Amino acid sequence: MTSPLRTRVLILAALLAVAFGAVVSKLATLQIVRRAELAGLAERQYSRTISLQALRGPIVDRRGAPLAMSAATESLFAQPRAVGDPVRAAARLAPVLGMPEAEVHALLTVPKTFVWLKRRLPPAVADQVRALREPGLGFVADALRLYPNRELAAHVIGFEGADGGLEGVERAWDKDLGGTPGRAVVGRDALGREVVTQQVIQKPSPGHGVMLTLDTTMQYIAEREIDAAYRRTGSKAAMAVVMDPKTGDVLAVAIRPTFNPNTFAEARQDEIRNRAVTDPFEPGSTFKIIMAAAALEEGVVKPDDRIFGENGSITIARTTIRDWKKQGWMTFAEVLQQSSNVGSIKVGMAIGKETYHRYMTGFGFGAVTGVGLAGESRGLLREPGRWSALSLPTMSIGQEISVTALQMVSAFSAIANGGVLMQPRLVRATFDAEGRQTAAIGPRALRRVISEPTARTLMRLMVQIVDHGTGHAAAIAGYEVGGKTGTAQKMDPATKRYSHAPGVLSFIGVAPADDPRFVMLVMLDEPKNEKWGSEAAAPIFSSIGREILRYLEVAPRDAQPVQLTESLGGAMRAPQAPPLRAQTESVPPASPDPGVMPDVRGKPLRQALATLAALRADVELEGHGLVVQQVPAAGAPLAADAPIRLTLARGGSSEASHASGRAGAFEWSEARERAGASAPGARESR
Amino acid sequence: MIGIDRRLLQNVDWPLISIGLAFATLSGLTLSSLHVGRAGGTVALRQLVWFGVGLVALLIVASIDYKKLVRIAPLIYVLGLAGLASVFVLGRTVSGARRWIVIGSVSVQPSELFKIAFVLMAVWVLTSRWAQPISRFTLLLVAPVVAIPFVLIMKQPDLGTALLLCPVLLALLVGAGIRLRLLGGLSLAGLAAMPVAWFFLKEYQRERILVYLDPFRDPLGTAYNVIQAKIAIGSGQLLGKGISGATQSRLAFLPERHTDFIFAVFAEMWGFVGCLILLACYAFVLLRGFDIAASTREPVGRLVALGATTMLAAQVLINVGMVTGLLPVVGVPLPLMSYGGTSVLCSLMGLGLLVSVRMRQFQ
Repeated sequence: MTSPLRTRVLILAALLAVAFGAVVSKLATLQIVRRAELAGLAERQYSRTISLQALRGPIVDRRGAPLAMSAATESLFAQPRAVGDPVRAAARLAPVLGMPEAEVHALLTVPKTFVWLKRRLPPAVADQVRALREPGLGFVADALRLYPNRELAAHVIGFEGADGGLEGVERAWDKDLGGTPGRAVVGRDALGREVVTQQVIQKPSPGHGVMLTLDTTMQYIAEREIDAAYRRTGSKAAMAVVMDPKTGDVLAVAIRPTFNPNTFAEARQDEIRNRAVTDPFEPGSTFKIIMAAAALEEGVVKPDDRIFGENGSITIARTTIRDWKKQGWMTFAEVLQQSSNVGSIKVGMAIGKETYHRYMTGFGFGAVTGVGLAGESRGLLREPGRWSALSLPTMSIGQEISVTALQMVSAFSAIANGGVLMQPRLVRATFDAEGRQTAAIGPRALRRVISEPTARTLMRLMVQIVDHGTGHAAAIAGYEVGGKTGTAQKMDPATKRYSHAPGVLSFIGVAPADDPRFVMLVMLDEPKNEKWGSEAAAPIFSSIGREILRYLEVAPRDAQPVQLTESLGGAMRAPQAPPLRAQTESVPPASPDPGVMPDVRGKPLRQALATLAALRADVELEGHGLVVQQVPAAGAPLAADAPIRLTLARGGSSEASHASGRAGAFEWSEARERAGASAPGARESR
Repeated sequence: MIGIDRRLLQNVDWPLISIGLAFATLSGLTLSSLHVGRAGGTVALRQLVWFGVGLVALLIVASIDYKKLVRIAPLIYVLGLAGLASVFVLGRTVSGARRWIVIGSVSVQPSELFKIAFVLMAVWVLTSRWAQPISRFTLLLVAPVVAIPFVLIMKQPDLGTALLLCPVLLALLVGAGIRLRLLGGLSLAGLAAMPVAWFFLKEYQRERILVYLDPFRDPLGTAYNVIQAKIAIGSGQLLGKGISGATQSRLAFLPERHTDFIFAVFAEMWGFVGCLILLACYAFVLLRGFDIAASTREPVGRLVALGATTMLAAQVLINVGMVTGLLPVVGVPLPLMSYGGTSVLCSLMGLGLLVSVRMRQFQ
């Protein structure tokens, strides 16, 4: 009996061994064969990968003044299942975040493991949230794009949305500016309860900075004048484009209507559009200079050749084109001075279709300039084969062709540059986060369009137009200015005829004529109050040009060298230091709206004064430190003679205190105020 | 330890006792990383205290002659049944089951304690003179010994513990010399009864069995445990993630991780190699138990050893089988590993019975 029972026990033990074998093989399947699959499942369960935004590179003007910058912020997220008491948390968070309590509560109770509460919080607010010590909340580093000068050069700079640059340089140079986003893993448990780790897998690498050819000061001058003209004339649009003819550098692009890129979501499309490159227009009389360039270069005409003005009208292909004033015999120079259509048409027809077309394309018309902005128009320039009998004559006076402002400025720059067309340049260089240059884009000559003597002759003719002709309003006292007015009726889309309504009034000019420092086009689109180019656009050219020349410290033609009478020092000094330069040199003017008191509270004195400098008002100061009080209040209109009174205090009031702790050129209070209250919300898109 | 013969001390199975200490270490280490409930971290300490208590109980059980224990088995058994019944009166409900009664600050699980009582009672019946020789009559005699507690435990409900009684009884019948034909007939009857049993199962118990047959039936519901356990075990890979790296278990993705699913935690921490070591420890205990049973000529001692060993073996296999997905999920703790005072105490008392038999083998 013992023996069989012993065997039975051994059989039971054997069964046990078999069962253990089954368990071991199952374990081997899970832990060795399927290990990768199951480990992957585990990883996905306890972690959530969050993209870490790279700090976007700044956009600066040609001297390094910031036009667009990214401020480090933090984005607040919640893990709703880990929030202890949503009602209490919402009640405490809502005032800090400036959100309705119901909205916060709704976010805290969504049935998800992760939800963004608010993106891009200012550091001060983030600290306040942290101080609440509510469970289930967390932060991820984020960045807020700020345009400290608001509308200034908005069309060129463009703006950045949640998915990168959307317009302007922000879009065109998005690859350089954007940098590479990083990744971080936020750990959580099954209840989404506890953020165990926030491990950065890949650090974001910051984007490169982009240095523009724009000059903030010139931009500011141009915008101020264009803004005033836009309002005064009731134009549909107004713009000024300034270029350095020797380098092709775009120095200023002022466009109205405009928008604040900090709150781009509120802007209309017609405010955002960079009309200088997207909107072609019929240039009208200004184009006679292009015709003249072709005619002179081809030897069709010389400046002193006499042309009969046909008493003010000419009929070609049963169409009569008239002059604004009856003309008899005149020299070619006078044709241009008086902007005679008849004279221009006669010369133009002598050039011939093919030849004229060759010159027009040579100057860059009918093709994009390649300045690098999105949505650039080629304008309209048809092939000679498709021209009608009327095409050559009308093109001679700048009709039946459309051009962009940038094309026009670029073409005139070629004339001012001795006949060599330069590649229009908007970006000079890119630089990395440490400020080291990563790429330089030098000036590039595209081609010679006309000979140097022809270019010189054209400059002389343009100076005569300003000195003796239709462009007299563009004159700048003390400087030799050359240029040409333009008036173009618009084609009425309904009748397909030129309407009598005011069309495009423009003036394009160069100064100083002997050593051109800039070429500028000023254009008013459908002004309500003024009809003639010479009366509307030319004075704007003059007032912008005058300040630019002073800013560039170009000595006036008749300037007497200043006698250095000072006994002390006696070092050589620049002949003249215009006061404007001193005011606007280092800090870009912040308020593009002269006549309204900006908010300077919370700023240090230096910055406040820089902001107020543009207003050219007297400033009375009291105390030291940060501005805590200002008279008049922000947004109030400024009286002409009333002084501005600022009260300063160290440490500041509550409004100012959060700005005082941080160093750097940029403060949050300022940024917030400039960005507008709705900016962070508007920039939220995910 | 009154009445201990000095000669007995020479035959104390020290390896078996020391393996108990080894389990204390493994269990404590595994639990130490888990933060359970609000207590957080104290689980491991409590478990170690229970191991201490259990070791004392082991020594006490070992010091008493198992024959005396079997002689008073009916008394122990009735007390055990009373304990099972008491949960319906005094019981505390945890996750829908009334399995615990609270005595002072300690909650006791009577169904665990009953396992010892059951082994002793079954041995008592099978070695009684009415049961000889083992026949159909013996089966009738032993049937109520299983049936009464089975119904009581099922009512708690605690399917796992109830099911444990069957393999233990079968092993005891085999060990007691049941004729193979009778054993075969019994097995067939058991298989035939299974569809009938289906109707007596609770809804969630049926669900568990269906999930076992098709794990993707309800991945976020009933199958959640099974899937999470598989992920935890699999992500442990060959060498494991270590105590602090066992994210699945530590981050509470795995429910019941400190009790019934502790094997998954262990597997995640120590990997395949660790699992083999743990299973080897169990194998050592169990083979030792079978060896004791096989080498004991005295019938009572042989059956006591066999019963205690089978009870342990069945729990280990059902638990590991269920955690690895080989078997449907039934609530059975892993002996000597799962957190739970009564379970540790009873498992060590079971070892105590083995030591007791071993000591007195050659008397």
